[in-house]
Amino acid sequence: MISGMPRWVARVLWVSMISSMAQAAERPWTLSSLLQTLRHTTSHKVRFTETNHIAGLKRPLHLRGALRYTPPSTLVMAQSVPHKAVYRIVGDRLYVNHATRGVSVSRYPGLVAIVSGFEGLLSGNQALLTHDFAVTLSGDAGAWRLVLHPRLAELRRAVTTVTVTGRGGQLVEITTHAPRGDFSVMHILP
Amino acid sequence: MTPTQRARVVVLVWLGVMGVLVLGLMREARLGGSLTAFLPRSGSIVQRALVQGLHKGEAARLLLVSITGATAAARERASAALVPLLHRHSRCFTLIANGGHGTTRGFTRFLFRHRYLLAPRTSWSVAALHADLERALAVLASPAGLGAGRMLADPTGAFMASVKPWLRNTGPATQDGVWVSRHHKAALLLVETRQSGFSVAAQRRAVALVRQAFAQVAAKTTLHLELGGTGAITVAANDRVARNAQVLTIIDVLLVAAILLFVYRSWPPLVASLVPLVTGGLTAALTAALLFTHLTVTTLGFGTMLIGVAMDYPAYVLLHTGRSEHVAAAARRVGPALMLAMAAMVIGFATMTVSHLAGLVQLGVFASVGLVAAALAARFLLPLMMPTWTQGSSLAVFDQRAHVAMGVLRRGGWVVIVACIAAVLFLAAEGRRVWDNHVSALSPAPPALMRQTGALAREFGVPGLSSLLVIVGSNRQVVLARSAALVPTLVQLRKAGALTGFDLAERYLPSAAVQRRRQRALPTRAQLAARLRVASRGLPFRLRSFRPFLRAVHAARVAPVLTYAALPPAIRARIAALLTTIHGHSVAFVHLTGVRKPAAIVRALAQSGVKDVHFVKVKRAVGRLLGRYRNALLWHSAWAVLFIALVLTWGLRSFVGTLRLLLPMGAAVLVTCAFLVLIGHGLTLLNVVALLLIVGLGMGYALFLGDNGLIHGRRAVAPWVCAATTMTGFGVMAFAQVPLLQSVGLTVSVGALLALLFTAAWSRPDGNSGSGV
Repeated sequence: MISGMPRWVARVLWVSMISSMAQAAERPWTLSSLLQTLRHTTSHKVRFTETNHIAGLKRPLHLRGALRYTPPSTLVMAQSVPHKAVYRIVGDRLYVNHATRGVSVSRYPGLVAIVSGFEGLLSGNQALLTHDFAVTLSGDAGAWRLVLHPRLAELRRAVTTVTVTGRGGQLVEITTHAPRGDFSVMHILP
Repeated sequence: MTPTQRARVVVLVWLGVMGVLVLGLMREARLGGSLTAFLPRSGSIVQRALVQGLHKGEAARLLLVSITGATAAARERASAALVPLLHRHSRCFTLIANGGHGTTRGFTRFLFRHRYLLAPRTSWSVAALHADLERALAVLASPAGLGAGRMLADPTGAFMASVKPWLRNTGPATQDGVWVSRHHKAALLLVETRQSGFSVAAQRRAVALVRQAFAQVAAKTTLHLELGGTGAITVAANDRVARNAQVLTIIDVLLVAAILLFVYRSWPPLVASLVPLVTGGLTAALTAALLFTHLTVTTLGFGTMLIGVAMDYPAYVLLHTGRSEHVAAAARRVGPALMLAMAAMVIGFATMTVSHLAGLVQLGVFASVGLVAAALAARFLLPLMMPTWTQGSSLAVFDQRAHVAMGVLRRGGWVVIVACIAAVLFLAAEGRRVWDNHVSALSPAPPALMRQTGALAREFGVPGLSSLLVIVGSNRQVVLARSAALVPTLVQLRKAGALTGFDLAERYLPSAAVQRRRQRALPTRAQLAARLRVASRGLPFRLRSFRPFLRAVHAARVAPVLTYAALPPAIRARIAALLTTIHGHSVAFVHLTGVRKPAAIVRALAQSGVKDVHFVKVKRAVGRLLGRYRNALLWHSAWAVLFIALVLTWGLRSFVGTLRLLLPMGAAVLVTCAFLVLIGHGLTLLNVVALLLIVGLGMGYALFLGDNGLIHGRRAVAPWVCAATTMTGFGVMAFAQVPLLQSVGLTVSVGALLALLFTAAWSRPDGNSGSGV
């Protein structure tokens, strides 16, 4: 479970990053220009569907929900299908459902790395982002693809790659691969 | 050989002998700086456990490091850079943690591997397993599901259960992978030293290494380093005492020299006065170094202060030297009185050697040996080194004035009685408030640093030790089993609001019995596989994915139970503070937090039926312990007074004469105590030692003040000069910033003054012996 936490956070972070990224679509398509736009991130809400392919299960699991990012550091993920649950990260605390006592994100090494990567993104700090991830951006503003490889061994244990694709200002899909063949595909609904 | 030539030879020989003593000291003396020397050594196992727990426990070995200033990123970088730098000194540090990944990696793996022995589990039935699998599926079907593949190796959540106790101590918050303070104004690190937090040299080295590493990391930045923890306090307290003592000693020496120079009006007697002191000091130091494995710095400092009284002996000899008299003749005349005064003082100091405080024993030996050597040097060596000395004429004038003063004082004898009665009444009214039983009263630590450490400790979530349970047993398994038996009681107490939390070793390392019970409850591989097949009906799990789970349960079934020795260092470090061995007994501590109803706790413990559990309020228990030691010292002092009386009666050949000396002295001690309590100083153990010094000092004054038939040609001025130097010396100390030094300085200077005045008031007027020769 511990190693599971970072995965969805990564996605949450990327969704919010990419959504805001879309606003800056007309600039030259480089990583620094992407990050530049993140400084202007405002409150944002999207809906998503997701499919988890787990090696130990006979069939994939489908889930659905919404996520909201509020600057500077609040992420709320509300899952509605197959069951209801709310995950909230405020600063470095993680709250599940209505828990008033949060768990320190620091308990989850992978999570820590992603949160720090996320903060690097939001602050537009390319150095910090590339410190945590090897970033490859391909395609153009019309159809692009961003692949992230975690640099930290702790993070690599939970996530091997995160691939984000988009079309112009439209975020399309986030695919996350974990070790041992598990992977998930998240579609962002327009 | 003329006397002058002989004096030269004696001086040379003496210098040679002293040189040999210094060489011997350098060879033999191992200076140990542990402040614990002044902590009680005997008492019940519980009491000893308490002392050991407080002072040898893991908590005392932690240095709390806080980096402030500059930007958060700079602090984080500095924190991260410090860790590898400090790791280089693995001989000094056992643990360096800044909240980074390295801190937890080792033991998560351990906890995962041994999860089925560490975590409690009530049922392995099909129904329980089915509920577990449904819970697991819910997690897999959540945004957290992807990385949760490991859950299939542990569907019952045993790993989370075995991590739980470690999560309770929440520790500091983390930002960017390093620990930060609550308001994110500082980066925090935790450094554990190998040596005791009370070992001055080791802690000084540790603190220096941290500072040095920080200086390297923080070069050209505006970062600040703050250090807290027992080790930092030990070093600061030591430096503070040393610094204070240094400055005060210089002032002290200058003032005393000025007084003696004013009296003697020439240099040679001043220099000669140092001979007994140096002889006594070196002899005492060498003796202590040979007798004890470690010579504490405190003994050296405090002891030298005590035998500083030896400055009186040459003064008694020299001031009694008549105009045409050899110093040797004067020494012979004052000899009996000198030896009697010395004997009284040595008896006083010797009482310390039978105490149970290692520090006091050493101090007693040091002071006794030093005084004997100093008195002998004044009596026999001084006359050889300085065969003749001609007093200035001014001394006769002082002598005359002293006589007049004595006359005035003798008329005021009733004042002593009144003051004494008032003091007794006052002390009786104050009752227990007379004594200060706080350990902090004995601590020379700077209060600001203590506060800083307190604040840092709160940031780190290090529990303030206020109440604990001490569980004693013949071995580890017994105390662990008793701890386990106590848990239901403690849980109930927490529910009832008697306390808010507890922490015990059993939570991290279950007793062998508990582990075996858990093993017995584990199903066999075939049983578990069959139950899983039934439990997973209707759920999408592939049965083969449970293979790691089956393997782990099987391994746990046949594994040897976990013992203390098998634990990884990080876990052992945590348990070390909670589980220890004292004199062949195993002792477990249960740290209690937020204790609100101590009476309810005591009651519940009695009802629990668990044997050998003691509820201890740390502050009060330590205070009571110190009180006991002080009382023992008081009793020993009473015996000492009796011995002094016997020796005096023998020396003076008069019982009334002895009473005449002792009673005013007793009055002086009582009034001094009353005075100290009145101005708000409770009396501590060290005050009692200071009072012993007063008794010895006063005895000297009394012997030389009145006509006791001991000395022919008594000089009334001599005790006044001695009292003046003592009062100056200790008076200077009363201005020290360290409360401990201040209190002792005040006690002795006030006590010496009162002893002088009181014994003078009741001294026998001169008969026919007259003054001057």
